[in-house]
Amino acid sequence: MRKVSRMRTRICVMRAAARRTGDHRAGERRAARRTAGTRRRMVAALPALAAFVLLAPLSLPAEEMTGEDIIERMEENQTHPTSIVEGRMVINDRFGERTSTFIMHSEGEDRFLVEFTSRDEDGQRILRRDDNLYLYYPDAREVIRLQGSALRDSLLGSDLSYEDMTGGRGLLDDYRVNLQGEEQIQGRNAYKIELEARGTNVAYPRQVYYVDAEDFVLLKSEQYARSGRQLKEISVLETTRRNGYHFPIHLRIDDTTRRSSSTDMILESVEIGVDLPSNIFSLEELSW
Amino acid sequence: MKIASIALRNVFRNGRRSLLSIIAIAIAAFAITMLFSIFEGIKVDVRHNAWNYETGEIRIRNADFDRYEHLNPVHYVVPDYERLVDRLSERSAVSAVSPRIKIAGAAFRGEQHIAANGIGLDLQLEQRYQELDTIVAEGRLPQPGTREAILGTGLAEELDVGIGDMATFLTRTRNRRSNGFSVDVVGLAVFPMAGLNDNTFILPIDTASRYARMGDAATEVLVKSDTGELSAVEAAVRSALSESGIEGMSVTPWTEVSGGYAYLQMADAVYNIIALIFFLLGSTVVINTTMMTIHERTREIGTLTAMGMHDRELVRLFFIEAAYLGLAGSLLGVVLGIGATLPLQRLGIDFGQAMEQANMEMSTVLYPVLNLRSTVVVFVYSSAIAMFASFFPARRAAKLKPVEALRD
Repeated sequence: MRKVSRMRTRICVMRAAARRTGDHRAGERRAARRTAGTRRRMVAALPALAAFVLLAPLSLPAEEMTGEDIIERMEENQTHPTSIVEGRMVINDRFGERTSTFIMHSEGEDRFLVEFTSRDEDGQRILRRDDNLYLYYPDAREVIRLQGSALRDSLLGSDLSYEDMTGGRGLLDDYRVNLQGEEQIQGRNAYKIELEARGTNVAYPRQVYYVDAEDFVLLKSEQYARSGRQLKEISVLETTRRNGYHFPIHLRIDDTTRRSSSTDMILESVEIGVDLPSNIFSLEELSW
Repeated sequence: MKIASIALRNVFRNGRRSLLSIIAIAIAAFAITMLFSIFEGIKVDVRHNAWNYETGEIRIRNADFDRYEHLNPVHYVVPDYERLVDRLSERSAVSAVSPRIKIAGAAFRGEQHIAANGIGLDLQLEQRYQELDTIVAEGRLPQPGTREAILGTGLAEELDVGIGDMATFLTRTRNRRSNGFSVDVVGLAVFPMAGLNDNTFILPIDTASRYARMGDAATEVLVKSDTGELSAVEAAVRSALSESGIEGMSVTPWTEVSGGYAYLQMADAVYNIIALIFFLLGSTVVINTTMMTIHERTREIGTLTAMGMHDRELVRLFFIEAAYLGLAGSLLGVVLGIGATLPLQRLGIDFGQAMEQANMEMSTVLYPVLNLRSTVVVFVYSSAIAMFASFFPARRAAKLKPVEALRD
């Protein structure tokens, strides 16, 4: 935790230095290089709640940026040392609407613990530790480790799959990036970036990201199957600035393979940089 | 009477040919008797399985559950099922009631995702509904109020658990939420339908209710009667629902929803066609034998007609000969068929792995059932067809001119 905090401090110092010299881009790149290899990104679904909750750094002219630069900047937005997020997930389908509330504790991009607090799921937990996902249910006397095809199951019957929660490496490790220009998304100028998977160990072979050209916040993303069929669409409906951070507080996820279905993720409170108990992400703590 | 005696004498005179005809008819009658016994066994078996594991004789469900069944709409339930069960039990047309909570879920073993379907049963009521003890291959049935379960042998093998182990499943609750739960394995079950062994487990209904957050509701209530009069049971169920103040339910006879029943309807026609083909094959032998006999006995026919035997009497002679052969063959075939079916009624025919792959509502071990009516029908039809088959060659023989016949 301290290490990540020191890194964030270093980035800020370097950004300040870069601004002073007028070489914003060089400052950002140096910072990104220094942090490369140590930062992992949370890229989707529930972790995306926290993943999106990040500082909006400085904006740069579009013509000077490559697709890789934009993705790096976006991912910097999605990384934070520790956080506690309270929120709710509203699932709509043909049978009506249901809401699940949760508290999520996270550390870095590959550790989080989600605990559901709504009456029907009270006490149910999801732990992500490194690349592993564990489920805990009060009625079960053992922790379930999700692997393989089980990760494709829907999370609480929502438009999210467990697989969406397991993004590990940064997008640039898994995808080739192609900046396709700029488009207007929700009245904002956004970079349109196509990502094509380098291998087969990713949930989506092709994705298209629309990243705010000013704040480097993801505004919308589309996920596609190898066949070209669209699988999901994630739209950011609302963002907020708080304590110098700029992050979405309302996301809508549409599993386009399911009819009459959508899931809204709404953040109600976010604390960043909080101290977390040292064993909060342990398996022992999960089932305690 | 005289013609009958001549016909009988002729049967013995052409002993080998008569024997051939009798054997042909007997084989056909035997095969059809067996076929009908097996088919009757399948009917009883499919009905038994459908009533116990699928639809009951009458099934009560939320009407919307039927409509959206493909989406597993667990929230469409039969509310206040205990009250409904009480009302149903008061009806004379109803002999047994089985409320059930179905838990569609999954279990995980390593990277394997194993589909598993839990059935929550009221184990006391179930003893009246079916002989549940017969499925226990090892261990025992779960006790009410406990988190015990009995697993199909295939499912236990897939999960690599045995008696005394714990198994954990994920499912959806009545409010369409997720839940995970663990059960203690106290028994291993072999269900009559092989397909159930690989994915089914049974747990007490109160435990299933707790895990699926069902409250006072059940997924469905199955009803059986002693009379088998569906309309009477259906009326009794509807009045019990009305008395319980439960609305929006579907009351469905098994004949409308059971895949097995549809199969039986289709199979009924197919088996009758197969039986007809057997009869026709047997008939060709009778026709052939009669024609050969007539050909060999042309001189005799000429003599008989020269001595004053009329055409009609000649036809009767050959007809009665064929009747003797038909009756003897049919009797022999039916007796052999009964003889083979009786021990199989107790021992059963094990279709083993063939049925395990078929995923049908038929049991792995099938018990043929001797149906008196179909056996009599086989006997009468076999005899009649043999007689009918002899009619045309006999008429041909009768048309022979005595002079031409004697010249041959």
